Amino acid sequence: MNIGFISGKGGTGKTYLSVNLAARVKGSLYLDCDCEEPNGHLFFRPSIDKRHIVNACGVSIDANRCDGCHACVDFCVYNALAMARNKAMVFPDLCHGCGGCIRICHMCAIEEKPQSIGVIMQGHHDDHGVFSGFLNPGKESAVLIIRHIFSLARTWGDGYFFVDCPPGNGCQVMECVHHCDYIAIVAEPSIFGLSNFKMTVRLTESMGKRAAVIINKSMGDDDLIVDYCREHHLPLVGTMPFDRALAHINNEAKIAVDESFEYAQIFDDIWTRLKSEIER
Amino acid sequence: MIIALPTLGNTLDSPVSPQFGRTPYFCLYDLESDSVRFIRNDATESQGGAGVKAADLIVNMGVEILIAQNVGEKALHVFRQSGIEIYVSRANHITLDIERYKSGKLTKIISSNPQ
Amino acid sequence: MKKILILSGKGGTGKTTITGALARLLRVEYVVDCDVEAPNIHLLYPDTILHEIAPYYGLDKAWIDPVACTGCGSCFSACRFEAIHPHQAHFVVDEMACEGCRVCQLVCPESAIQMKKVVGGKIFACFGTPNLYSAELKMGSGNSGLLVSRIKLQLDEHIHEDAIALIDGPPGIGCPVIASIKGVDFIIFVTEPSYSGLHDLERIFKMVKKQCIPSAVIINKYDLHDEITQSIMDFAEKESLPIIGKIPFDPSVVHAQNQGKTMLDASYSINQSVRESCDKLKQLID
Repeated sequence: MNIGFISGKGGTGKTYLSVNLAARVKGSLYLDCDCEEPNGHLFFRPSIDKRHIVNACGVSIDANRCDGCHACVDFCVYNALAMARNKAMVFPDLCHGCGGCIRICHMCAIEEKPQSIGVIMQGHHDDHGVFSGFLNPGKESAVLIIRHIFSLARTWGDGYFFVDCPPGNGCQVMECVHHCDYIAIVAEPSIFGLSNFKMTVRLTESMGKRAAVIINKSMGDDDLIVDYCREHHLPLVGTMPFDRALAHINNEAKIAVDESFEYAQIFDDIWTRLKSEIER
Repeated sequence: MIIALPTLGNTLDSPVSPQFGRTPYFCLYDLESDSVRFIRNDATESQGGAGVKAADLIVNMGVEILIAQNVGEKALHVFRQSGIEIYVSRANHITLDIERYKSGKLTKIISSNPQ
Repeated sequence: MKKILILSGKGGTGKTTITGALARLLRVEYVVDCDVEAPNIHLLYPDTILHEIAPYYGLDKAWIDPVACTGCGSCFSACRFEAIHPHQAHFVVDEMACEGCRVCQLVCPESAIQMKKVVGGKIFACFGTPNLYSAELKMGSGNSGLLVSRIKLQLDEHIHEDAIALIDGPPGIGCPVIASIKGVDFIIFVTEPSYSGLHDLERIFKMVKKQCIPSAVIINKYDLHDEITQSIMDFAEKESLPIIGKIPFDPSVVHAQNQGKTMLDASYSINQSVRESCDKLKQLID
């Protein structure tokens, strides 16, 4: 059971909620799919069991064979190839690995060469599995890494998988949502939060996923979000108040539920309600 | 010998473009015949790698000297491989920059950020 | 024109909030929202009405003519993006997964595949004080880097002006961020005192460093954690990044914004600290 934590807006508390809920559910798995800026490992400080390098397709060019015909440069829509002194050269950062140039080269001068785009750290913390994806700086998209994280997670067996998704509503979020069975939307009661929350609700609805809402950083007046949830028949399963002491713990990358019984209780309550919505 | 400059328009009074890859036009000046022509830069429409595409175009046109304000890392790499020399535009003006080049007053670009 | 980009790596550190306040203090002529996956800056200008100035087309997407398709499957096995699926006796393209590479078109023996233009989003503008540019990516339109480049291209029409443009950047370090950095004159990193904030600042700085663009740091909500604020200052010192401001945490910032005001109206201490940051920024960009 993959539960995706998404929000549209950044910094609403996806990592905070997914980490703390995962920490309260025995034998659960935490998957950090925010590969551009993964932070869950800072909280779990997992013992690393395995490193998986994620490769995308890339190409290499044999300059001795290249006759400078320019066909590969013309074909590449990503502009990953250029011609210099009548020899083709490739820019791996721009290559999407479609394989078109390999097919079009009549001299067979281009061959496939995997290029690393990132790494997945597989580890554990107590009885929790912790998988974190890291995109190499300068690489454009982490979609492949996300896909790989989910395929690794399948080998873990059954149980609840807490998926910490990237911010935004783009291709990486959609890749995550696609793999998730249920969505937990983390909303912030501000005009920014509401605007991005609406986009996120549209995204989950259009992908046909069931979802529940958790409000974070509440300062007492949550009408903006609550009203929208009611209109869209979205269950609200928890409201986290803004709390300086909690923020302090979270800023230190500590797991709040491990710090005090009171915090554990708050997250247990949210989990009970979220779980009953999932099982409904 | 052909000198190229990225330009915002296709007339001699157009300023030199601050961007290389996504410049709308290139001015091509032929030193021997003292003639000028402008070509459109299709790379502006590119999703990514506009610099590489524009560099490939310049190489294809047989350019030997480029005068620009900024050239990205990847385009610079293409020019290095091709042996094209790049100079920093100081006047932001086509004819003034060419004059300055002729009198040896322009500096060569070595790294991708001349500042 | 001076283009100043606001970045953070981590989301929710206050990029948009601070962009709005600086825009007012600097009386900037242009404000650009490059967070095309979650655009927000127009909300700071409740009286402005954005109108669409241009549609945005991403890369063309493949389309298989069901009449011409014989169902041979060449395209299916050639596609590296899992974008082609069998459907009854022939094959169809999943537009969301298609990256427009044209390999399917290349291999199709029946010439049954065409590339089609697909609207991937919209660019909006509102001309006033300041001039606002914003954009919205259509859901699932993939690569937002090009859309970011497109909005920034709007600025180039005003290139001769002695004006300032503030650009609110996207979170992360991926393609939209890479696109937002191109051609800017100055970068402000807005961070917050959390390990996540610091970690993300280090990651994004590593990427930006190579480009030698003058930059500075603003620590937002700095009083939420003194030690981590100190760690951020140590990091900045090590990298010779000037810290131009430290803004305290104050719940009234959210209240002010919810009422359509900026953080400058929140409280005296907030107002003062933002003004200080702004003065230091002015010194650095002049």
